Amino acid sequence: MDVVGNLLHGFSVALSLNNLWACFLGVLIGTIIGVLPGIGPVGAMALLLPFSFGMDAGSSLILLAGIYYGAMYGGSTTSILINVPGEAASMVTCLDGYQMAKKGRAGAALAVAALGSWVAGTVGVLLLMFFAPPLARAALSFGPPEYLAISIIGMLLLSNLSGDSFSKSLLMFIIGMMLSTIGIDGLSGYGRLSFNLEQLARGIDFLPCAMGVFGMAEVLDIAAKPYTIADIIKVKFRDLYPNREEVKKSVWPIIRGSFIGFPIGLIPGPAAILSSLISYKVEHSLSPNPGEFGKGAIEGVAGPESANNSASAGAMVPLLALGIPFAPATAVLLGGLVIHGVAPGPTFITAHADLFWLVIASMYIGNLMLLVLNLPLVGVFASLTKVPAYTLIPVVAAIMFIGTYSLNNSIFDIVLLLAFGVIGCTLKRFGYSAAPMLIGLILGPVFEKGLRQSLIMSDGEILPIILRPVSGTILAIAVLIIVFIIYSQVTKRYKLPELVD
Amino acid sequence: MPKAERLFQLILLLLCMVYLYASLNTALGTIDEPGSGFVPSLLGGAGMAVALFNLINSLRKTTEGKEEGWSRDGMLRMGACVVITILFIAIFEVLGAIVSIFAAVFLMTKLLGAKGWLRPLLLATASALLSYFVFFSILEVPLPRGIF
Repeated sequence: MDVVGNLLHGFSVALSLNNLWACFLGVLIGTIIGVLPGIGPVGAMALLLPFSFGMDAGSSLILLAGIYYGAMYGGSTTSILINVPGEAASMVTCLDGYQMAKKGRAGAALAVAALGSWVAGTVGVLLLMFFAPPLARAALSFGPPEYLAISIIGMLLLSNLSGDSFSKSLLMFIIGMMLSTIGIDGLSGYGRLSFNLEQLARGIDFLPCAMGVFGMAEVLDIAAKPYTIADIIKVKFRDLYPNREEVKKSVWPIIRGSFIGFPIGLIPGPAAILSSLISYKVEHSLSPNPGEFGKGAIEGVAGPESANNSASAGAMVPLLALGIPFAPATAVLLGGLVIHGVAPGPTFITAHADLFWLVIASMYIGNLMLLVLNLPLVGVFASLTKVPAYTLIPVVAAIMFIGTYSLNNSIFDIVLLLAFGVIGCTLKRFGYSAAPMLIGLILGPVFEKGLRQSLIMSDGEILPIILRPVSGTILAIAVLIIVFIIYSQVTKRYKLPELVD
Repeated sequence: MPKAERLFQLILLLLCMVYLYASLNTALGTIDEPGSGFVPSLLGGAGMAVALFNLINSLRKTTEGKEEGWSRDGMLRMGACVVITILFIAIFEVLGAIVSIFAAVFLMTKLLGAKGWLRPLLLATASALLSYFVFFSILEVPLPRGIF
């Protein structure tokens, strides 16, 4: 009854005019960002964070969460209509969505993607509602060894799942952790590694870095290679109905996608893209007509679109229950909460129960808004892709400059933005993923605090850390992952791109 | 590409070495009471090992990598974009937010291929005034007013 009562209370607050407005604005901006080339959901969330300054913590979180799952949906529109994914997770939707559009079934593909996203988003929120509170209760008993173990397994999983090369992702993660050590040491209070630069003494903020590698880097990349405006397949409103056979074929992929996406969202790494790929692979292997895949199979749209939306709900669990974001998008949400004086962690759900249930309720409402907003306005959103680079990019850059400055009223943050923009661009050029670096920047202090406090607690002994049930189990899994990585490197059997094939 | 990649891997290795050197000069402490340099030293060592591994891997590559880089023009445009941002940083507090946003947007619009003068001028003016209004008046961010 507690759950129902809390949820009803959450709905009563979420339905206030302010929160509805924040939710609407979030999903609208998210959809637009998902459609537009050049800036992904993480860059957009970081970029729009300053717009939440005037809001309370609840409305701010609703706005940012709306941008996050709105962008997940928006990306599918361009995948289907112009064969260009608005954001990475929609890459898989291109395979069959665009083929359906070429056969005149664009409306059906868009409707199924919207319905699938809505169903999966709702299932994801339901699972989040039931999984996060018990995990948070369990996490109350976690000590430094457990947090150390979580950060180690996070590092291994993230490095193994991001990009093609484990060693490249691992190096990025380590560099992110190195960046987190610059400035004041949280435990001793002494300054360190600031190379006598006054601005570095206060440490490197996550948000200018996130804006740099996910926003400014895209600006520079588009400056180097301006995108071309593709022809958009037109969709009429009356075509937005899948036929009986298409509905029948979509039901199970949507249900399966919803349940595949959520657990993948829980693990560190590019959950959205990974869940789409796995869902596609599952649908392909279960289909009685696998030959249809790649030629316009509706299951290839329904499954992956559902999975990536469910994964975005799953990714909220470690953030809300443990206070540890495993994905750059949830790391920006963490930044948003911290700005408003709310620190997520095991006590978040009990200490800020009103906020937790408000966000849950707003996610239900937001998913419904997405559906209502996207189906009739799909043509309008698709036409946004016609905005030329010379109009879009300078405006995005200007908002980014001012937005970054407004975080701390510091010109040094714009210097950081530029530096990380150049770094992000260079990393992309040489096949490195910037996401592990950002997560390393966030998990660095968790790792350091966990390791140093554990060593102090155990008088420098390693065994007591390993022998604790939770940390021991997590570390054992970490060892298994290392063995698996070494084995797969030796045999060369394990390759993520195979999933795409 | 492999040549540039090797150079990049070497730069990463050098950065890890500099970081390790700097962290070894901070208080390391002991294993039962680690100091502020303890974790940075571990990270520096680990980073150096992985960067060295990546460098060796790239040195072992014999075939030419797939070239998907930027054209010469593209690199020039990117460089110009960086210069515009540096210019923005330099004039932001001196000339104020409105002038700097106007200048940055105008220059970037022209750089990215907008034809004529009217469209870039209108876009730059609208961006400068709107962002100043939103951030200064609505969000109450104390943007520098500069010459105004």
